[in-house]
Amino acid sequence: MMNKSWLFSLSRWTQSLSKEAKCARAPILHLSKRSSAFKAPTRPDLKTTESETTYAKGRENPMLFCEEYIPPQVQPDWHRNKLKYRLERMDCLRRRKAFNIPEFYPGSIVAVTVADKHAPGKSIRFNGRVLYKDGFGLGCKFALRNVIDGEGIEVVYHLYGPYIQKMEVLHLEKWVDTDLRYLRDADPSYCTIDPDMQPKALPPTSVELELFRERVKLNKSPRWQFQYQKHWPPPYNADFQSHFLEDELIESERFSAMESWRKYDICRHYDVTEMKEEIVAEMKANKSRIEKADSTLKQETS
Amino acid sequence: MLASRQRLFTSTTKSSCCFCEREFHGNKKYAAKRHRTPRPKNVFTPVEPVNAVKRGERFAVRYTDKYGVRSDKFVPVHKLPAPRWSWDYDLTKDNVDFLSEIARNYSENLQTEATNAPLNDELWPVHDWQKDSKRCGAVGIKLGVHPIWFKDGSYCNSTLIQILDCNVVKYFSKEEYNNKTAAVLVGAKNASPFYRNEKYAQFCRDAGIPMKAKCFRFLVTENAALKPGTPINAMHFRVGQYVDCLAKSIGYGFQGVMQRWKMAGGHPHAKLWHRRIGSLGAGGKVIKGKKMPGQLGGTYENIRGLKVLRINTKYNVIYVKGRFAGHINQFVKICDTSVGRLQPNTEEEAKRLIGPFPRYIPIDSNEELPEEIYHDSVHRMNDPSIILPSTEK
Repeated sequence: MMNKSWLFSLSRWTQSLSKEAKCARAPILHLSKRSSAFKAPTRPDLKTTESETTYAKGRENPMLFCEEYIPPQVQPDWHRNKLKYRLERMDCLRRRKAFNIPEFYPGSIVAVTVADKHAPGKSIRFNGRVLYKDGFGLGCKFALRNVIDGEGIEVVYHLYGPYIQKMEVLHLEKWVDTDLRYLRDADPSYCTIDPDMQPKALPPTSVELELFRERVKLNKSPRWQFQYQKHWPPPYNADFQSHFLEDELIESERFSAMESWRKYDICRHYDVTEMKEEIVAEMKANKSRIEKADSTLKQETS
Repeated sequence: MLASRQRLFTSTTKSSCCFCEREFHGNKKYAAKRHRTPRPKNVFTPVEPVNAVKRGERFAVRYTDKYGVRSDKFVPVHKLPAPRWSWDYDLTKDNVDFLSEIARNYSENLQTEATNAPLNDELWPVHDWQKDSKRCGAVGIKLGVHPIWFKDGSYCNSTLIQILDCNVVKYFSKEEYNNKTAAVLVGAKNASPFYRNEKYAQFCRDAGIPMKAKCFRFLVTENAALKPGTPINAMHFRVGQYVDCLAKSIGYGFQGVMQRWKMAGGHPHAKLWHRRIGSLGAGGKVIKGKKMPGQLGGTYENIRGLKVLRINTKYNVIYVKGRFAGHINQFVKICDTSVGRLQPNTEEEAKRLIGPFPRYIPIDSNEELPEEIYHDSVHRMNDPSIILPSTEK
């Protein structure tokens, strides 16, 4: 709360400053007749703590909540074990404390330096566009795609793998789709990324990310990996109807009309709002649990 | 003669069971045998096995597979054991409510009584390890699978096993059991006192522990005798030792030949032949063991030589390298390996390949155990990223 009041007063002060600057004059304190009624401005508190960074709507504090902390949807109740989910989330938190895993979404451009015993310098750097990020807990994997010398190359990494030495987000983008494997059948310009690309400025966490709503044009249909017009839900960022003739257009519309009931099927929806509160409370408890557990470890090694 | 034949084949009226008033279409003679009078469950009724060889049948060698199905003789209904009824079949509703309330707090009350009891007998004496001596194992629950990374950058899928409320239920000496080896019954996961039959309930009462949901038998040498009631936790095993895991695989029921034996079946454009066996073999007869449809899964499978990588002493969880059969929350029997190459011959090997013999005894009772114990080759998640040393000459 203190932070917000400080921002409020600071914003007022900066607004007044900008008016002065437009007039190209230095800021002047106008002394009034009633000088005794002068009130000094509130002194801004410059000590900021890490826990008070604000997170916008679509973005969360990774120490408290992440997409990979949500357990997979398993039908019979006796086929899940909550202790195992808790132990895996504790290991994820340990890794995040030791290494800063940056925030990224499918569609953004990421560079990764990885330990490899067969490489000359024992490490390899690869950058590319993220196609998907899938899995639960320590098994969470993401794929990077890059086109080098006309050859498309994809590499899959574990998000929590300790063989990752460095991870940089070169361009943070959030697409509407979470599965961009149709870029294999699209114009290769979307996935050709310069190996020496410089990172762009990241927006701060208090700003909501705008979704990327442009549509990628796919190549002609007989060369596709999947029949995208027969998949539900149809991808938003892919434009696969531009090459279609009239017959195929009618068939694709008929198929989407047939399958459109699925968005109203409540049983298939995985409601996560209740789970999010439980997970956030659990991760706060995990933090203290880890400190107790790892303090005994350090005594052993030292 | 004619009259009896008419009686057998002419009665087509509906017949009903006298006890539960269900209706059957067909012969009254078989309806009576299908539904028997109720018998209480807690009484142990031994059943004589169907032994066709005694009566001089044709095949002397009876083929039975691991599902317990006899291929040449189908066991008739009247020879199967009595049907099982619930423990409250003959009690009034008030009594049922009263007993179920007791059962709810049963295990907690027992444990508090045991800890507060002034006269606690001492546990049995501990003997040293000798060559060819076996100790008992533990019973756990399969929690799931997740990856573990090693310090050279490789990774493996490791299963988590939780050892939940594990206690020794009964010890049989060599003379009591079979005159070759002693046996130990170990149970896990507390259950209500009405869960099983009276014989098993008496074992648990004598040991002073609550009734266990699952119980496994371990064959043991007499120098590893354990007193009934001793608790077993994750420290019973050692990081770096090798372990066998036995668990019941997921049951898929009666499955065809393509799922069960991975036969190829017909090609996609076939019209009259899709998922069938094909040839039954040559020689004028079908050989025993011919692959055919039948029960798939639901059997006990043993995986040997799994390495223990990590132990969590707070939740009693063991991380084991590799995977084994069974769904999540399935009971698992964990014991020291039977792999020949990993059998210990000296005391030093016994400390590396086998856990503490015969059970875990803390050196200082007041000493606090470290919460996580890792193997040397395992990378800990709170360490910095792996940097491989460069080999430049």
